[in-house]
Amino acid sequence: MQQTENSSRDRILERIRAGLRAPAPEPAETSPDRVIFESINNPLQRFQQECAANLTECVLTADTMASALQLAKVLESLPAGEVFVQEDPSLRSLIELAGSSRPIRWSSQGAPSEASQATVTLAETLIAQTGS
Amino acid sequence: MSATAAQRFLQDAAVKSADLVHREIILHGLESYDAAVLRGRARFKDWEAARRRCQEIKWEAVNHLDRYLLQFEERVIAHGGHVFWAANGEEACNYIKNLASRQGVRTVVKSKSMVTEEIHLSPALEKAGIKVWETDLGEFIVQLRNEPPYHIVTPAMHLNRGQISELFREKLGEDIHGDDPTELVAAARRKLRRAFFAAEMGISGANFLVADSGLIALSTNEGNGRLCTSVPRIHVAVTGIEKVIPRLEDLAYLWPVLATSGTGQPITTYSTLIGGPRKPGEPDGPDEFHVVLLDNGRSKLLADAEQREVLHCIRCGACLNICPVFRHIGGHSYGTTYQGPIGSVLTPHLRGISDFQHLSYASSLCGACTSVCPVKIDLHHHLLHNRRNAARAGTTKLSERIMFRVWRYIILHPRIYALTGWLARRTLRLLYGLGLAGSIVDPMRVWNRRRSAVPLPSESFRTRWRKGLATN
Repeated sequence: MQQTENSSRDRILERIRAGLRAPAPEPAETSPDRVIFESINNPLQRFQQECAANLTECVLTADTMASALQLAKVLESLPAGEVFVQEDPSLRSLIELAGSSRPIRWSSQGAPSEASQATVTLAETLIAQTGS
Repeated sequence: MSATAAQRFLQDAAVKSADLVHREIILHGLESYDAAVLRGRARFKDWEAARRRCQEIKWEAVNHLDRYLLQFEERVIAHGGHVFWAANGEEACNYIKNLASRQGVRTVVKSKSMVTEEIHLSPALEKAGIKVWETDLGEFIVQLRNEPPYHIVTPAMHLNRGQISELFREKLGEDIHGDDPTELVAAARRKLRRAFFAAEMGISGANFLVADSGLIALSTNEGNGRLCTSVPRIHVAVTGIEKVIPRLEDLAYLWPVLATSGTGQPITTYSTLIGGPRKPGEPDGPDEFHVVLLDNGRSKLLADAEQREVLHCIRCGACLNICPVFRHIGGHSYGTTYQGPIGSVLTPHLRGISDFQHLSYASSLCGACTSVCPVKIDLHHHLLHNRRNAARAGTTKLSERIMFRVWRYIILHPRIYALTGWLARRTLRLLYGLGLAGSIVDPMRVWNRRRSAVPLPSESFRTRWRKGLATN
């Protein structure tokens, strides 16, 4: 394994190991039946609620065409300038469908310019509990 | 002769507690915080269970620190990063300075990091001719004022918008009218954006180091952390060794609990995981990624099994916000990197018990800090442990030791105790009758010089007790 040359590494580890020889009292364990977070019965509804609380606009669309129209609407509302878009086939087709006349900079072309007005990305997961 | 830390603390605390404008600003900020935290806790089905779970996670991490640090190191190196172990602040600063020098770094952007404050990294870099920009808005404001952070989470909470507006007009030359927050933020953003794109090195702290995946976890609210860690070609994360946690899934508890205790949010706006430098084909991220693991007294504290849990702290600031002492004297009076109850417990371990044992007395021992700590650190008892340790180490003043010996003798001899009480009542009554309450000859001066004299009882408790027994 590559190591960064570091004379203090072993000394610190030795001090830690020496220190841990004296055991500290263990905390009382959490009872397994204690539930920390409320269960979420309707994740989509909860996600939307959290988005509203986070001042995030969340729009549900029925299909790709509706998504493209929504995206076009958002892009039109922005001041003139470049939009930075994540390089992905589904976003390529969505941007094409949206038919925006804006200059598009794809992530495969490098970092966004400082003057980019917006970024368009996919989301791998939506977290209902926090609207993230 | 320069004043000691204890003398400065007393002087500054006296000034700040009498500064009503300061107290109003703090009270206003903390009232908003209190309300947000109550709302935040209500989002948990069982807040106490969440605290306990976080306590267990941190206990496991700290009590197997060597194992988890090595696991973390191995993963970071596997991701293409570098890990440097620093025994103290000097080693950490030298490592970063040398790295900056080798890479021709002229400008550094920093996101908020209390560990870098602890080791005085910015002055060390500035001394080496490197321009350092604090990019967290609060840190940027205190940097412009040439002040240390006032609070570990909200560094500029002691200032109101008017003061910040004036500061920006003076220091940034910005033509700002009024104190509209949007305008103030825009002014800071204009200045900082240029720094982000000019900087060759970004420096951050780490809220957590995830051992099983070699990731660093950052919680921020302004997005500056992501710019600092992804735009410059070198990213250095400086962190205490105690920040390691065992597993990625532990963040499911620690992140919301940290955000709730810190600001009342369910989770901070930007919760970021960083796992090394940019990989081939990735559009952004640094070319180099370095983690500096700082000991600086932590391994010594680890060896104290009684106080080891102090290393569980996740730096949420909840203990500061609830503390009646902090609420009155504010953050700067402590004269330490970490303020409030956690700072009073930790600083004597990091900077020496003889110089900082006075902080153990900056507490009413009400236990409010312990009651809100999200990882259940028994803070007020640790203040007592520090007092005891200072007394055992003989670092208390001779006059204090004599006083306690005399007190012990008196309390063990009931007749002498009764006589002393009788004498004290009469002496004080005479002094107060002469209008000398709070004067240099008043033994109760510490209390009476800023307050009305305490009314003296006409008879002793013992006498009143006897009378009470006789009437019942």
